[in-house]
Amino acid sequence: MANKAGPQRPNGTAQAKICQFKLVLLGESAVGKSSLVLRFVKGQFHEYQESTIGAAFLTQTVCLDDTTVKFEIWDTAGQERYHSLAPMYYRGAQAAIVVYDVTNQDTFGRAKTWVKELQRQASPNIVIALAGNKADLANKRCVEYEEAQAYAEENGLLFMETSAKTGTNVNEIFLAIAKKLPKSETIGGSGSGQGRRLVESDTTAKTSTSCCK
Amino acid sequence: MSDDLPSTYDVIILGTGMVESIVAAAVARTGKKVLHLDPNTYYGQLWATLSLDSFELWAKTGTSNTKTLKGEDSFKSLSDKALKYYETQDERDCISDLTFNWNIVEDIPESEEEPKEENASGNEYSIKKIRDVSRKFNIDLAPKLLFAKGPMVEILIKSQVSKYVEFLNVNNILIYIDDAIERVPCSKSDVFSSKSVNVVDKRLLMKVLTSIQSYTEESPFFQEYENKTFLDYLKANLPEKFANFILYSIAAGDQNTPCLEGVQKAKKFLSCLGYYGNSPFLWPLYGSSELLQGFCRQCAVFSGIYCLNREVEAIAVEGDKYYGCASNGILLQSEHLVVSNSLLPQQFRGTGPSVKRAVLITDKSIFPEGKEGVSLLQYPTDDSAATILELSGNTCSVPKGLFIVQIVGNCLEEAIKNLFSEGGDDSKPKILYSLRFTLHQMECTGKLPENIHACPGPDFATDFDAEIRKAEEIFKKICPEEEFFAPLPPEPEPPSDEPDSPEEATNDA
Repeated sequence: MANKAGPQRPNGTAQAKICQFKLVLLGESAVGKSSLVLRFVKGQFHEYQESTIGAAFLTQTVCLDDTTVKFEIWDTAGQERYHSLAPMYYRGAQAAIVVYDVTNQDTFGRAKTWVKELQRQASPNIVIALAGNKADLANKRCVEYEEAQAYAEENGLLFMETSAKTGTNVNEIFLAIAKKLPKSETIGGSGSGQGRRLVESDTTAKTSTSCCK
Repeated sequence: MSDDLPSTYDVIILGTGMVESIVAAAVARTGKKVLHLDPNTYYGQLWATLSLDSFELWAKTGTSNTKTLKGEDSFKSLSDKALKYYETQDERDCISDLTFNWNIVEDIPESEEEPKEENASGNEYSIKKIRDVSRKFNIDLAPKLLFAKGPMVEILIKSQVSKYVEFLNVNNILIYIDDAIERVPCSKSDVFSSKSVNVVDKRLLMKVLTSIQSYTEESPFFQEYENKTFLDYLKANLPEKFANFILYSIAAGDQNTPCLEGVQKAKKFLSCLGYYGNSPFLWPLYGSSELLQGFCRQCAVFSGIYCLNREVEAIAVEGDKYYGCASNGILLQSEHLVVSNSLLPQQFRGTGPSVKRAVLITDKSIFPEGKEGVSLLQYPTDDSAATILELSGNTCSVPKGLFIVQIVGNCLEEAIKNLFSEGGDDSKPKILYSLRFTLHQMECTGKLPENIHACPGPDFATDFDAEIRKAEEIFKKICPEEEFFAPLPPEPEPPSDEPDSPEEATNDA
């Protein structure tokens, strides 16, 4: 286990470039945030997904041409339900997926509020994607594709309709985000906020390259 | 607000202070159903970290306790049971003598010359300009440091809450002595390489540091000092200046610290060196409240329910047992209640010791020749000491070019007068904004039902050791059979290219 931080090794210039990003999910309860993550990370779908994933966060990598993008994916853990999301959730997030349910107009309205919240709380350079989830339930659709797309375009968001159930566009939306993220910046670690993570029984000073702004 | 909170829980936790939040994570991990409430719109109560806007608002609402008691009868309709209701109080009672002021102009009219960079020289700051970057401030109400090998670090790693937080070393350990700020040589290698210590003194310092490090209960060395102060011991073995270095900076003590206590504290400091660089302390990026938010997140990950901006008006007691919480017209029930001392009903709350605190925004470092980051300065006076923590831009607590200075100690006015300027003296950091208040510790004085567990607010220590001990004590009462932060079964690893073999010995580049 000593080398779990392998991909973060700061001087790994000889290897293929590996970039790590923090990605947060936002959206109303029950729109399928956790399901999207589970589908992306584990390829699974549970009809009655429990409302949270019992992990700190999940990780998954996406390979682009010359770069491996490693996502550290944070779920709200239900803290959004009573408007009690801790500010730490947004700290250093370089990407966000705002999720709504295509069969529920309210969740689309709330998604717009979450986008505003991100613009207020998160880093100004954050890459935001809008995901209209549950696209497999087309017969119950309440939010038109065009309406959401127009909104996304106006606000400079990536947009896809997804289905965690069938897997439609799930990998694609993460891939699109990976493409849009600035790869060079993270490696060198620009700007402020370079801290270190605590490591177990490690006697030598180790510098983490996890980077946040 | 829709009132859809479920009505029964194993544990209700009232207040999101440090101890409450650690308990929240610890009990949620054992599978208990937790509801965590806070009357404020932000996390942390008196442990909070606030943006400048929120901080100014907090200061403005100041010491005004807005709480009006409703009278017990107003809760009678909540239940048919014979319950006695005790109304909770306001945490604002912990604050007194609060004053604040800006020491710069409101606004600078737009001139022909466009300002080029944000961190121009100090004179050009205006209140407006600083407020415009309010969100770049993360100002702690109760900043504390972590010992690199202390119990907080141990629990963070054990719980894996450490994954949520990043840290910086406290890289300047300083002392104010003979009217100047000096760097304290902390480790033997510091002493060895120090240019300001002559050879004879080096030898003496090395000898003392070695004796302290090798101290055990049986050490014969310190026994003759058993009834004397640590300062007596230090003065007998070192020139006064170095005695002060060790007493104030390394042992965080004062003239009255008994010898053995001083030795133990100094030993702890020394034993924390080298794990995360040559500093015994760590500071969380974005401020102390990241830690409690991390514990709260973990509680949420284990299905704890979070609801800020939600008051509990009264605590309901049935006979000699706590029964539930009256909140927003409903009765929330639980087996246990964990509650911040500051919110305790008046029958159970008393005022404990107090200390003066100040928060400054300045334009220059107190120790410009030091490394950028976090500095800890001890300011001893004849009868007490002030502890000063300075944060620069790379801590994510303040915009680049500015500094946050946190001062604790009853002699803080003297420290402020000698270290900072209100304008005019360019050699010292200029105070752009200052806030002063007295922080009172609330104590639980009455006899609470045994299923209510009261949590202390911020104390005046530099570290979190007491908070961890208290959280563990409360946890043991709620979950007597369980280990405090027992390790979790390993998460199945997501598919990765490299097999996770224990003998990954081939990657020395």
